[in-house]
Amino acid sequence: MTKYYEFSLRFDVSNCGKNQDQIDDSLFEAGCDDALVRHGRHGEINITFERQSSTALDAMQDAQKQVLLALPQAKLLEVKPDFVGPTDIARVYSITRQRVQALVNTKLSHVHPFTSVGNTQIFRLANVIDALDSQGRHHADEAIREAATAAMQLNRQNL
Amino acid sequence: MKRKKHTSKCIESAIVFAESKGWSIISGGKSSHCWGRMLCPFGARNKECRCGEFCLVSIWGTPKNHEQHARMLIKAVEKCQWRGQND
Repeated sequence: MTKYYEFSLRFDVSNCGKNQDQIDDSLFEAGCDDALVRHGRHGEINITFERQSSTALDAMQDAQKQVLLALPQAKLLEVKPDFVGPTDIARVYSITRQRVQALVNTKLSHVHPFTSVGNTQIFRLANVIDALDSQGRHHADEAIREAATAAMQLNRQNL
Repeated sequence: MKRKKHTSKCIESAIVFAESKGWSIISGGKSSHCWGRMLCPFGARNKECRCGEFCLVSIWGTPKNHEQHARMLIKAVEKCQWRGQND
């Protein structure tokens, strides 16, 4: 059975020697004509995919291969959704940020944040979803859970 | 000068939606596949913009699936955290 997975790949393209137009054309011709390409200020691109596949990991690895075919010098920086703050968690569960903060202090108190930036705690989305699933009250979309788990796995290999 | 219309109806309406939220549309330059790019109104102005790094979004001329591409463009506008503060 196939599902639709939504994920993003962030690449450093500063060593590719191509301008934005050439990057877009290379990606399109390599098969990313279904993706949303966003250009950053410092030679970075963020490519969002919504792809049908049997597993999230397959979808992400296929997409990564296509990008590297188009831009061989590109360096994978991050696979999303993985690192999340309260605002992102709120969006996944369609609840308020305040509610997430309350959950972090109660049901999620045993989930250790990956790190903190200023006052914001950063979690791995897969850990948050697993913790909330085991409590039985909040259910995330199965495709999001799979994407978060696969993204965490790829980030562990790459970072 | 008035910008040219996108040939796909659903993508054109996504572009009109982005424009209604203050995004500007710039040309795709010399690219053959990129019809144009939409630029977030807050990224350049607001240093605190969280997604300011990625506020230049490429719009394909002939995406694989027009409806899906239009939906993704709308999502990109809706996800901008500054949207709503100036609406």
